[in-house]
Amino acid sequence: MLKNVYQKYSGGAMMVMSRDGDSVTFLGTAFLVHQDGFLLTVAHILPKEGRLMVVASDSGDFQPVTQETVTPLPVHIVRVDAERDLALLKLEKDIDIRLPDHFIGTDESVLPGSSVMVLGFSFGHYHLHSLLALNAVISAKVLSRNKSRLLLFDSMVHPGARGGPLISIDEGLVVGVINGRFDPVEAGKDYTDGSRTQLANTNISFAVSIDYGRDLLEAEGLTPR
Amino acid sequence: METPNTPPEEKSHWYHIDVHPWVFFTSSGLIILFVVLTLIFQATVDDFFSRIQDGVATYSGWFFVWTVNIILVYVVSLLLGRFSSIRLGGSEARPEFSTLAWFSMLFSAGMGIGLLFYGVAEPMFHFVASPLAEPGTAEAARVALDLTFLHWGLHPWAIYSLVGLSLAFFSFNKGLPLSIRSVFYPIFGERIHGTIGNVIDILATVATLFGVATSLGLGVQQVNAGLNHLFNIPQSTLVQVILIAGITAIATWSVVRGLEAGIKLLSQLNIIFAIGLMLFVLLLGPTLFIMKALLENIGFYIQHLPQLATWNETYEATDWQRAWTVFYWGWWISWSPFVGMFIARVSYGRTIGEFIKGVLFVPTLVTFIWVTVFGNSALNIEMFGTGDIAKAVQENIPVSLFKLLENYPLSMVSSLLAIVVVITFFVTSSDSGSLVIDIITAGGNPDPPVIQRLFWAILEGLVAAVLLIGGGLVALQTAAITTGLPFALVLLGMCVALHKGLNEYKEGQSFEITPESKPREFRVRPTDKLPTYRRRRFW
Repeated sequence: MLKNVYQKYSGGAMMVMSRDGDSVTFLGTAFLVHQDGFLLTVAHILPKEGRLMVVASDSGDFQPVTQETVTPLPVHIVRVDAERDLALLKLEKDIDIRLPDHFIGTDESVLPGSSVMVLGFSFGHYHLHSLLALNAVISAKVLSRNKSRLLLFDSMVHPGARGGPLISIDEGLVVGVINGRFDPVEAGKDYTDGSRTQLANTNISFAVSIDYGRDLLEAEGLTPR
Repeated sequence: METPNTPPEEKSHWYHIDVHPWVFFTSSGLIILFVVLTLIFQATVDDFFSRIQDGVATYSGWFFVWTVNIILVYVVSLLLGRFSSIRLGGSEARPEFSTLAWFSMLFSAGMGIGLLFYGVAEPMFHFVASPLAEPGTAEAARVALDLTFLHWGLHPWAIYSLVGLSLAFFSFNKGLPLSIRSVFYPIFGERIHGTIGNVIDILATVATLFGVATSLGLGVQQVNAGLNHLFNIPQSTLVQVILIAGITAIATWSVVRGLEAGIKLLSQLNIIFAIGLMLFVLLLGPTLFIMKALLENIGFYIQHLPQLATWNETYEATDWQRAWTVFYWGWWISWSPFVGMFIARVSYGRTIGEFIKGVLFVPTLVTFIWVTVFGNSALNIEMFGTGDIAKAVQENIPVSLFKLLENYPLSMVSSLLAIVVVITFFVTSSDSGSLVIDIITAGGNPDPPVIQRLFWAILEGLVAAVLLIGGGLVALQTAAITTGLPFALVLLGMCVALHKGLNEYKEGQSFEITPESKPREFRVRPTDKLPTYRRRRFW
């Protein structure tokens, strides 16, 4: 059930922010993947330099749509996979974290037509700090030009949800990391200006297979669960 | 993530003690007090409780009939409704026991010894004195089996399902102790951890111990009767006390070894022996008659279930039900804390749907097969054979099974097997009873320390032996059954509480993070302009 998936994952989804003195600025979404404080997100939302922080989400009950102040936790980048556009972050302080026994799936868990949930802070850039759950189906499983396994799904992802988890409803497991909207012009061959990504007008978005996230965890010597 | 009340690994020393002081010592004291009082004022106690039981059966029979039907409808609605996919222990929980082992334990604890004797005897009783048909006719035979099915079928298992499910849900999913008090959480809230909870647990402990101990005491008299019938072993208190000691010794061994190595093993052995005995009768008895009867009995039961289950003998103005149906309902209800608790303990990791299919339908079907094999074999002899079995059965229920077996070849072998089955059924009721009392008096610890298991298993045998020697078994058993009336009210409350609990339940495990120290606050600075991203390498 969608509700159960939300309840399972809402505590694990976090806002990624960049720190500048006493204030923080929203960048996108990340989600917890390991007991020791590791989070997964997409690499392209992260700044080249500067300090990063993450903020846990609210409970799912009525909360103010915007927050003037937050209580973020400092993180640093552990590993980046530029080919797959993934980044592994780690919380800097020791924090007591409880995770479900099993939550990282594989891209084999879903087929085109499978129901998935999109979780992310869609409108973080607009200073709105609610975690949003969206319902979608897998539209296609495609291999990109650099041979990355991507999951297309029929939901219009907003910039703030980038880095959030794509979760299969049937199994309740993460199957992908949300990357952004799917732009057929960009995916087509002769397109040069990458900066127009946001203007592409389809309601299809894509996520990178979680298997690459697994690889990243394993490269760090961690066991995904 | 640790799910609340995941059965932990055994790790403590044998002398380690973990008791709920109030519940443990008060229950032990009350049990000893009751035994002493019963020994002193035997006749008075007997008279007192049979009057109460009589009154209960006469004036509140209709209430029992209502209660058990409401429970059955509610349990079936849980199976069909939106809660059936909720998993006991949380969505990531996995069952502790294989499905077959689970069924064996359910069945061994739930039905036990009574089925062995009444499987043969009860259809006989209804056949020769049918409340609803001309005695001795084909119709009487059909109704006889149907009534037996009613008393041993869906209704008792629905009662056990309800209690088991409530306990399992509140303990495994809500993190409350595995104890009767937890079921009342939606009603009393945090107060269940105080005096109210203690009183509830003490009552459950005392009622369970007396229920199991008196059954043990009365049961060995039946075993003794069987042994007498077979080997001419005298029917004496000495033989019976030896039997109690033997059964208690095996049960104690089983409880001490624990669920996995002891109780599960014995339950499975018990079921294997019982199936062996059943196949024996099926193959050497009137096979064709039984095979035909099984389908017809079940079909008749399904067709007449609403009619018989709601029958209150309103227009007959007889009091047949008082001694049968109402007695059974009171009996099952008074046993439900014990059986329900045991079922809950072994059902970790099942979904509510699986639980109800497994606890309501499978044991019912097995019971139906059992009653058909034994009941119809006896009926066959009465209706088409030598025809002297009904009288013999009515005169002496404990030998009914052996009387039946005498009619078939190799009766010495089958009777011996029957004795073994009788004893293993006893042991499995006794050890699961001790385990349940153990868990309650350990404050809901699902794996209580070894020394306490020893204490309760032995106390149970001692109480049975003392009551057997001093008298008062029937009195205390009646006393245990009279708790059926107040507990029927509790069961209705349990339906409401469980429904409320399920409705509010948020399923599954989740992510939780707790920073060590309070993190400092930061101001959120709005994004100046929406970001543009560089092209990724995918394309």
